[in-house]
Amino acid sequence: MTEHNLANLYQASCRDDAAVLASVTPAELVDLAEGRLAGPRRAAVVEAIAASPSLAQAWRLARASRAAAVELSQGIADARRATARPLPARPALRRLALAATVSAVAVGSVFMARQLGPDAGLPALAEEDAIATAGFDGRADDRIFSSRTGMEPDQIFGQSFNNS
Amino acid sequence: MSGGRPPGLDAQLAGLLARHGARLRVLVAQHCSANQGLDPDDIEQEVRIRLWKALERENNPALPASYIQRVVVTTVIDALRRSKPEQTTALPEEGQEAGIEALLDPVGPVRSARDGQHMDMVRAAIEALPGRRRQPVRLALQGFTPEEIGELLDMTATMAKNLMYRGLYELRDRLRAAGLDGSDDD
Repeated sequence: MTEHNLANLYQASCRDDAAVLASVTPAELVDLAEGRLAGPRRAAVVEAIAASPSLAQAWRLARASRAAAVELSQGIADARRATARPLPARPALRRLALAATVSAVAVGSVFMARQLGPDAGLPALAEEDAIATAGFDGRADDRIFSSRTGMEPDQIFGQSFNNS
Repeated sequence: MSGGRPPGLDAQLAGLLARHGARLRVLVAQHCSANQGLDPDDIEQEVRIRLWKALERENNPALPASYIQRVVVTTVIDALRRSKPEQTTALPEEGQEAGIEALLDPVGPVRSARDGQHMDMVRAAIEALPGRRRQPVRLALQGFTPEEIGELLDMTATMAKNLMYRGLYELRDRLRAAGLDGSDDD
């Protein structure tokens, strides 16, 4: 039996494919044709294509019509851009808006300075950092890794780190 | 039809759709077999109307290419669905002489029954193939090339071709063993 005869018989046996045809959306066919479909859904759509001559044709057409669709999409965008009316320029309005913004920022900054007092804005002097002042060579001032600091055991393990 | 569009835009869009339509007619004729009941002119006309409506409806500066492809595929699937009932034979009304369609059928009832039996044998033999070869064989019998099969099954064309030919070889062997061989081809 030739491949042609086999193909005819197989396609004829798949002809009543209304249910299979309904199981796949056009968007899925396009996504598959564009390589954007993955996972179990991809496998299901390929399975449906293998069982339906109609879906096989639709997939072929989706794939073949890509270049024409891109060209038409680009053509429509270009035509619309070329005939689009430019927005009217209003330089006076723009200058007025800029002046209003600058004024609002200036008034706001003066108001804030008065509200916060004379020392506002100065960073508070940081107290000496207990961690940063510690020595790491076992001297008496090492309050982190030494038990000589007399610190309470931590609350997590209930004991000091070096008090096994 | 133009609404508030700038002058000249309608004519440009109509020209673009006409050019796209001409290409689409060729693609439909190439990729959709005539025995499915698809008319390239009808498909082209329907796609053009749907795209024009989308252009009127959408305020976006462009229609994405994937959207245009979806419109084409939707139109084709709708046309295929509409053509399905034409392929089936209506059951005879009560009182009507049964089997008149069979007499008018150029293929003939004996041949149809034999084909039906052969179809069942082919399907059964395909189902009996090892899983890895089954899908390439089914796709090949749908008319896909090894490149297309590779793309669909996410494998190289060479591998797809290999699985496809081995599968077809095995399928013929099984059919021959089941009593369906080349002598029945006509």
